[in-house]
Amino acid sequence: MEKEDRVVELPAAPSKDAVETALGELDVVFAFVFNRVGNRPDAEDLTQQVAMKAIPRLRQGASAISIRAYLFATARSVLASFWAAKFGLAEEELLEGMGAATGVAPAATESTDAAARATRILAALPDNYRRVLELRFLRGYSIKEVATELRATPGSIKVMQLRALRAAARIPFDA
Amino acid sequence: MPEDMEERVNRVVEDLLRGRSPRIRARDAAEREAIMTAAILAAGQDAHPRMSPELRRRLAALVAGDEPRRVDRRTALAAVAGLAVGALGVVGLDRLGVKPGPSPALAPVPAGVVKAGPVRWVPVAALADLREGEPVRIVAGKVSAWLTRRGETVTAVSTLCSHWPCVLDFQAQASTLKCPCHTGASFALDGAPLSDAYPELKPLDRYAVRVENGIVMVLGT
Repeated sequence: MEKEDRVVELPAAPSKDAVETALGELDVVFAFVFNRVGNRPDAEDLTQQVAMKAIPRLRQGASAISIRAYLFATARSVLASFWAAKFGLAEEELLEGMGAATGVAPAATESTDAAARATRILAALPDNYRRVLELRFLRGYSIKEVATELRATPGSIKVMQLRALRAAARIPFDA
Repeated sequence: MPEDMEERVNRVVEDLLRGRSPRIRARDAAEREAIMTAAILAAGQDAHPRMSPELRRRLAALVAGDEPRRVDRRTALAAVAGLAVGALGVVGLDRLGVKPGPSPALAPVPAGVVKAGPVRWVPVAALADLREGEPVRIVAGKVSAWLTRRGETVTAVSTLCSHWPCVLDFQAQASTLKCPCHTGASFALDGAPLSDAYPELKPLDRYAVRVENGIVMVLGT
C-alpha cells in the first residue's frame, strides 16, 4: 500500500512564502489526523502521505483557502486507507454500517480541541461507562488502578471498557 | 485458546495510551468502531497537537523540493543497478589482488533471504577491512546493503527501510540504522526493528553473505 510508482510533474522550486503557507496548512492536517488516530507515529506518517500527494499544489503557493479543501479530502482518503489496511478490509467495507462517530466520514463542522471532544463524548455516556473511560483515557489509569478505584476485578473492567467504547462509538464525532 | 475480544481491544487501548501505533489484526475488524473511538479518546490527552520540529523540517524539505533520499523501491533498484560493483561495492579488494567480477556459478538461494531474480555471489569486501560493529554500505548489482561484521560472521541487510522505501542512515552513537522519513523508526544492525513507536515495523530484508578466503561475498545480481 505504501508503494507509489506514479511520476509527478513538479513545478519549479516554490517561494519561501509558499513553503510557509504549506506548512501552516499541514499543521492543521496533522491535528486533524492526530485527532482520529490518537497517536503520533501514525499521525506523522499520514500527514507526510497527505503532503506527498499534495506537493504539486502546495508548491504553487495557492491560497490557504483553495488548498485546504483539497488537503482535507486527501487526509480523509488517506485515513480511510489507513484504517482499512489496519483491519484488513476494503475501504467500502470499513465504513459499512458505521456512524459518523469515527470522524472518517465527512463532517460539516469540526472542533479542533480533542480534549473537549473527549469530554463531550464521555458526558453523553451512562455513568458506569463514563467513569471507566474517564479514568483510562483522561487520567491515564491502568486497568488495575481502575479496578481498585471502582472495586471491581480487572477482567470485568476490561469488559466494561469494551462495552463503553462500543457505546461511545454511537456518539457523533462533532456535535 | 483465542484471546477474548475485551483483551484484544484493551491491548489496542494500551498501545494508544503509550503513544504507540496500535497493533491491530484483521480479526479485530468486528470491533473497528470501538477501536477507532478509542483512538479519538486517546487524542484527547493532547488538546492541541502540533507537529514535531523534526516532522516540520522534513515536510519543509519535501515541499521545497529538497527530498533527495526518498525513493520508491523500483527506482532504488534501478539506480544501484547502474553502478559498477567496483565503484562503491568493493572495499579493499585491490589490495588483496582480487578482481571483482561475476562469480562463475549461479548460487542457490538460502532460505529466508530476498530473491532478486538470477543471482550470483558478488565479492564486496575483504573481511580484514570490516571493523566490528561498524557497518559499510555495499552494492552488489541490484542489491544495496549495510554489511556488518560480528566476529567471523558478516550480515547484510537492506539499506531501505521496511516501512517506506527511504535509505537508512547509520547512527554510530546508538549503533543503529535510522530511517530519515519517520521520527523514531530505527533498526539494529542485524535488521531487527527497534522502534517502540512502531510495534508493527517489519525486520529489514536480509541478504545472504558468504566469507571465503577472507573475501566477503553477497548474493547479488
